[in-house]
Amino acid sequence: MTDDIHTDAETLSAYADGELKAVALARAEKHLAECADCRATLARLRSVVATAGALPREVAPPPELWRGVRGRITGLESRVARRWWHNGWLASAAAVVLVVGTALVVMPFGGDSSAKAAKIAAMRAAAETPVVVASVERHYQPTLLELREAFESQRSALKPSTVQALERSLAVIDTAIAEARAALAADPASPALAEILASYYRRKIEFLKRASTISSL
Amino acid sequence: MRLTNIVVALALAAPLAAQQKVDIGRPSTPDVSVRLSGALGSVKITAWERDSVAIVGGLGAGSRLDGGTLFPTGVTSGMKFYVEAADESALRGNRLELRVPRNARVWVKTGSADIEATGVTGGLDLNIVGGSVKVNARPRELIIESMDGSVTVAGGADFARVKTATGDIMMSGRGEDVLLTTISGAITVTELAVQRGRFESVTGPITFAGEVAREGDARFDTHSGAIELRLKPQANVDIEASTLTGAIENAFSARQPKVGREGRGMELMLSSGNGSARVLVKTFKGNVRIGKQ
Repeated sequence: MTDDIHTDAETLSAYADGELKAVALARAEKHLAECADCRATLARLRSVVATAGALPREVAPPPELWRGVRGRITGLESRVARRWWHNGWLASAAAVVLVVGTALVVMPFGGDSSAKAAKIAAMRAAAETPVVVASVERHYQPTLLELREAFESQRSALKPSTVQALERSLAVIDTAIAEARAALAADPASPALAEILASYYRRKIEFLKRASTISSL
Repeated sequence: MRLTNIVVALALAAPLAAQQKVDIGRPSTPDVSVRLSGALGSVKITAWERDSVAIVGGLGAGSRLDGGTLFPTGVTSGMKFYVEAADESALRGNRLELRVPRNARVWVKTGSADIEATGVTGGLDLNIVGGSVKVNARPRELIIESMDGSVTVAGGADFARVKTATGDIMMSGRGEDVLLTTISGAITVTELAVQRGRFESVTGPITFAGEVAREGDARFDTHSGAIELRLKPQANVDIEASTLTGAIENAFSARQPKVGREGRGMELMLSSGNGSARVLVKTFKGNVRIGKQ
């Protein structure tokens, strides 16, 4: 059986780059032949690499982008006060906006070329982030929505204490997802982080599946 | 599934005012499949040296046991029972014992109950929300799912899948293919020899004081839980440990961890003995400690 034990991100990344040695290569190929999840992860990794490779090497933000970013930062300040850290999406969006904002705020006053390169790198990272995160999440969100609906539909049949316990566990997973998203937002070129985020989504899916079938007794 | 209701209804179909006694028995095949579900306070599963199934115990006032065998007469290969309770108080009074052949396959699904299984070598598939599960056996196949309930397995299993949300998991014995996973419960593995193992949590700590078999493969994965591996000094194992932001402490050998390859966290690669077994340890921000038993 191939269930549950998957090829890790580093191995998949090395596989994608043709860097595995014979034994590891054979092991990876055997598992990939049998495991749709890992094939999907491999495809995502290749997609991330392809996307990153296709990005422009220089980014020149148009003036209207800065105006929009400044407006979003201003808007965020009020939302931050409303416990933004409880919302993974908002946290990551904030991270993206702040990275872009920081780069753009500093850029007009920058001096030497290394500082400029760092700013450009930050810009590129920010530009990639939504692509990478969206690439991972697009794969899982439809299933998550369906499972969440299934859970909600049977919620009233469960004991309140059971519902509370389930919600607590979901909150724990969501916190992990939010932290992984923020880390990926800060380092969108990391295949390991992309795989970590994907693995957390898989855990949430698996948990929601279980939650949808537990006894109401 | 075709089910002939012949056994139980006799004295139990109508709710009674007081505790009701249950005492049902049937000859069975050695690998009989028994399913029990519903409102249960406790379930004891005991393997015995007979080719028959007995269900004994008591039901709380107002509770009802229904079900029976797949075949109306003769040796049965399958039995299925369902318990209803009028209220929470009656549920707690629903205390049943299943006596089954050693090679039986037993499936139990209930809400909050304490389940204890002893001696079964066939299969156990136990599903609870709360309560606890204790297994003193080494079944070929062991599947346990629990939300809050703790799980203790003494004996291991050829194939084990144990999943909890907040419940702790403790396992010892021997396992060919073992997966223990929790969200925030603690995973504690002691004296477990595993061929292929996966141990994972989100925030729960993982402690492994077992052994990875020759050519075996064990993986430990957590978001923020601490991982502690205590291996035998003469273990034949290759270990790769990495964290995103957590610390790694190596008390197993002199080799020291270094900064992770992406410039953050830590990583450690070490080899002991002939390195025939492979151990992978990964955390996002949990700390890792590798030491000796």
